[in-house]
Amino acid sequence: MIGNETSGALRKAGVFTILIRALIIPVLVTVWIVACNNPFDPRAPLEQQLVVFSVLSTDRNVQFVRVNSNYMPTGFDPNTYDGDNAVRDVSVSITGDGKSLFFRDTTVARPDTSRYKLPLRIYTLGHFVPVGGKSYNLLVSSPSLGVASASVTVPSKSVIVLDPLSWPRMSDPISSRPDEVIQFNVDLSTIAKGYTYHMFICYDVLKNARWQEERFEVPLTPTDPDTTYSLDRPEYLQLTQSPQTSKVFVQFKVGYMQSIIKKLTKVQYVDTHLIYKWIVLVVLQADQNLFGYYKSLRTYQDPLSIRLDQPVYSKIDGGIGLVGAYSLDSLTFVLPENFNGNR
Amino acid sequence: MRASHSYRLSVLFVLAVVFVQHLCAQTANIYGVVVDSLTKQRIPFANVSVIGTNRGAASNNIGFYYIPKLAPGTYQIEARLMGYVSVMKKVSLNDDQALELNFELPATAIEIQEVLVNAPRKRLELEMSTSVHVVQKQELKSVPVAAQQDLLQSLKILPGIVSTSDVSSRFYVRGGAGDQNLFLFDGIRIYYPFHALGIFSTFNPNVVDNVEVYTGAFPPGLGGRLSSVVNVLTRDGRADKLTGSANINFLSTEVEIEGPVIGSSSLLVDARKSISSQTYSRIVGQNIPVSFYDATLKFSTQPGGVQKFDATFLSSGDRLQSSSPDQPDYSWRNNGFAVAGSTMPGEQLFLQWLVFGSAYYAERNAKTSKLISRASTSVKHYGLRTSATLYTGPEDLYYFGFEFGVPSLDYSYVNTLGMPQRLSTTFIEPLAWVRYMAKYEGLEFDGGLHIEVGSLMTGGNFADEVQPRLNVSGLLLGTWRAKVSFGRFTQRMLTVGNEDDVISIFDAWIKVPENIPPEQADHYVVGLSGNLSEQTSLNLEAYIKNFNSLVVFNRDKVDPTDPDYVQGTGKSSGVELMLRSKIDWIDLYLAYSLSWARVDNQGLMYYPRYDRRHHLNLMAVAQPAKGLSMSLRWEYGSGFPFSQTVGYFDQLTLGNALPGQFELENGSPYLMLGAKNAARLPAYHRLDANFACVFTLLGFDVSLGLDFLNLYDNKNFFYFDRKIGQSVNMLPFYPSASLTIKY
Repeated sequence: MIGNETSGALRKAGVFTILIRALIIPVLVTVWIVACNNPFDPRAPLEQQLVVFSVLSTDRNVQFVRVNSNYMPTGFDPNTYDGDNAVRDVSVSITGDGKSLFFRDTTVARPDTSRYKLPLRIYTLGHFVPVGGKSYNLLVSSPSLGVASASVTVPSKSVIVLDPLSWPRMSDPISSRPDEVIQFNVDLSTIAKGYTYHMFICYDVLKNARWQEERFEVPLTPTDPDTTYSLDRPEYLQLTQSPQTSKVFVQFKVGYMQSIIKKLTKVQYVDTHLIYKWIVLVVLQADQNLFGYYKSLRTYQDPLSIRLDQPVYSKIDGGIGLVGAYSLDSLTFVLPENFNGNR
Repeated sequence: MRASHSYRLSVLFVLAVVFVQHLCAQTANIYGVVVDSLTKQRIPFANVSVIGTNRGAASNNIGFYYIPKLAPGTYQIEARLMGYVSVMKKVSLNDDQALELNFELPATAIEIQEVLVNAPRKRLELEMSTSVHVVQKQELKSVPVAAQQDLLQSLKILPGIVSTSDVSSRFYVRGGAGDQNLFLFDGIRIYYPFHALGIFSTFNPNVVDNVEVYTGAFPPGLGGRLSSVVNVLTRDGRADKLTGSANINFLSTEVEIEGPVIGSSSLLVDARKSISSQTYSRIVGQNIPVSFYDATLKFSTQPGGVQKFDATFLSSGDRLQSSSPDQPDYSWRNNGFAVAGSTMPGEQLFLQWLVFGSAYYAERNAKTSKLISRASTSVKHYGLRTSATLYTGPEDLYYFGFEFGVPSLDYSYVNTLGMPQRLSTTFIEPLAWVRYMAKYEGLEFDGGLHIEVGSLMTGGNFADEVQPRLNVSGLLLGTWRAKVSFGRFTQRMLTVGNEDDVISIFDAWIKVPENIPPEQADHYVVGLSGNLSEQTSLNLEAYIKNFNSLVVFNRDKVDPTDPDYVQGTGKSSGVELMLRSKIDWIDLYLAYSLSWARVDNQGLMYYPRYDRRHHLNLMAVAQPAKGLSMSLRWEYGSGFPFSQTVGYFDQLTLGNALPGQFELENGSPYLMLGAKNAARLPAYHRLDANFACVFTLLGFDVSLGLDFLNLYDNKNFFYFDRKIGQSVNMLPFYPSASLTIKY
């Protein structure tokens, strides 16, 4: 029995040995075949789609829509591409607030001709101001590239109130303490996903016997407070996520207003007339789409982020780009005629 | 809440079994250690058998064996292991006697091909398990590699292990990410086991005795990672005489000294240092001024009986210094120690303890670079680990223990606004485990619980923190054995990086963010192994790995207050085949993997970039004459996934502030990618050869090695620069040599 088992095992061993030997040749042939190197190209054929950019805004009565197509450069550097991306067979319409309106195809001069030489094709809609709190649906239809659509809700008007304690500081900042605060209480729209604000000192200056209107933005208090209130490295608010309460307390230090007035009066316009007219706080509220897109462009400005990829934010069905909206509101504080600094 | 009731019952059951076993009556026991008769080094995985019975045991990783509950009488006990002359001893056992019986085995010349194919030096418990490979130093040295032998490069021949490039030792196991592998060096946790950006590992093969690689369903006592455990065990220094060796190759030089010190103690010291970054630059095809060193010191003593104490120290460092002020400099450092001991405090109980500590530090000095910022990361991990083996019956034992670890993670970086940031975490990681192993005729059972005590006490999910581990195998017919395994695993640390990076240079470790549960995975493995013939063995395994919780990028992050990471899931599955055969004086090795890996990022399903569908390793090792060996290795891997370029669009940047008339701006080209990782890169294949000869010259043992990589100079694709349209290939045809002189 033992002898039979042994010879059986040997027969088995022989079969497998032959099998393995027989495998060596096909393996070598496979090596030879797969050894051929094929060229590699990471590009897939271009699938053209609509690229739509539009930001509806409440501060103007003309709205714009850019409609282009995506492209594939012949080389690999996209900056070398300077072809015409405009889509010519497009109809653009907006529906909302009980209206349906069509944009007009227009051509405007391109401000920057460093890359593209052709003029810009823009779709415009005149005499139209979107209404806060209303939703609009933008529809871009092209027989060749299909239909792209996006919905956007315009943030409602914000409520801006100047804290009464700040009134005297606004009227006469030079006589106030530099560390005193000017505060606005802002109730944002619940629709707004993001907001930003800017405060300007507006003045008229006499230049070459002509009065000119100018403005100077008041910077924010930096993260590391600067008791000299230097204007060398001013910080301004970027678009920021709205708080859940929708209430924002906007604060500026009087010291920066003093620095601005001193700079204008004693450095910039020493020998000319200067009249400070008003201080205006501008509040911009962005909808979800505009806020998301804006933030996705500035991922690397996230001071806490540890992620390393670069996302893109686009909420357009059938296309890519941005269809967003913002509302712009302001509160103006008229300065007294005897404002300390007028000359 | 998942099945928590059944887990509680399982715990009670295991404890009850332990108690009942303790009540059983005892008879005579034999125990002892197996050592090399000349060097006095402990011999792991030797077979000790009681002649004329079916009783026996395998020595554990420090050469200890235990054969319990033999009936009183006279026996012949044999210890044997390939590479050693078998030794037989006759003993008489009385009732209730516990006999210490130590073996000293004289060594014979070890032939590489025998080790490679037959490889019986495996612990008994490993043989019945799925997803475990024991690789010994001879096997490590038979794999052709660039410039110098390397442990992690050699492990890539194992099924289930995938590497995405020639120029990195980093690997991915069964669809798991690169940070899901636990590296242990004599118990020291190594958080960055790489040299030269990853092309080599810090583990010097010359100090390694063997490596246990668990690619799935690893047993209780091992945890903290989702995908694999690489447990590197070093050898002891020789206790008989002072010897030394020196090695030089194209990349580094190495000196090793070992010998006896006081009494029965030995010391092993090994140090390597790079000699030229030119070699590395040629390997990667770019001028990369990298330098490295590593040093290992091991002190071992055997004061008597079965007692053994070891102290291991590891230090390694890398530096990449660019001459350009715009290119950042990098540095990495690893330091660690482990003090281990083993003893028998009582009958049937074998105790092992370990005090370990490791410190990893990496720094990126941005210099004047505007694209890369300054950053540093460190991981310090100190702990105590104790395990006990309780030999309760002729065919069963318990293995239980606890570990008390304190990892401390720190990541400092400067964001692009120039603001320094710091993430720092220290936490306590107590673990406990109990494992029961038993044989009943052809059936073998190995199961238990691995308990993340710390997480459980701080409100962790019971079903996640009390992790069942099960391994059952049964003899079917002849040598054929069917196996089935299951294990649940969690992970609380991860590396920060872009998962789509071609090669990761700077690995910063952070704790899983608080808003996300720990990463968690379940492994299911079935296997079949046996001998096709006397000279051919086959191991076939199929696995499914469910990643029930993964940490993935938050694709919807818009605001700084939004989390960077969110919870994702994943799944990988595959079939692995390993065939070993011997034809005359040639050994053949075949490992094939067919696998799928998918990640689900909140609805976005994609193949991770290390998902390789087919992977084949063929290796032949021959020893045509004494002292001469040759090996050929051919590797084939189907292409890795990538995202195709599907076009560009001009993205309006909205200026620096709102409001503004941005409709008129040109915008910046934005690269549009197709479906994430939906396309495949070209396949990879490479043929390598190694020649080694050992001879005596002027009384020195001289070993000369020649390696030829990528013999047919295949243009294996490494990465493609989409901006300039240029592809960069991996290693071209590359010859290298090494010379070792021993005295």
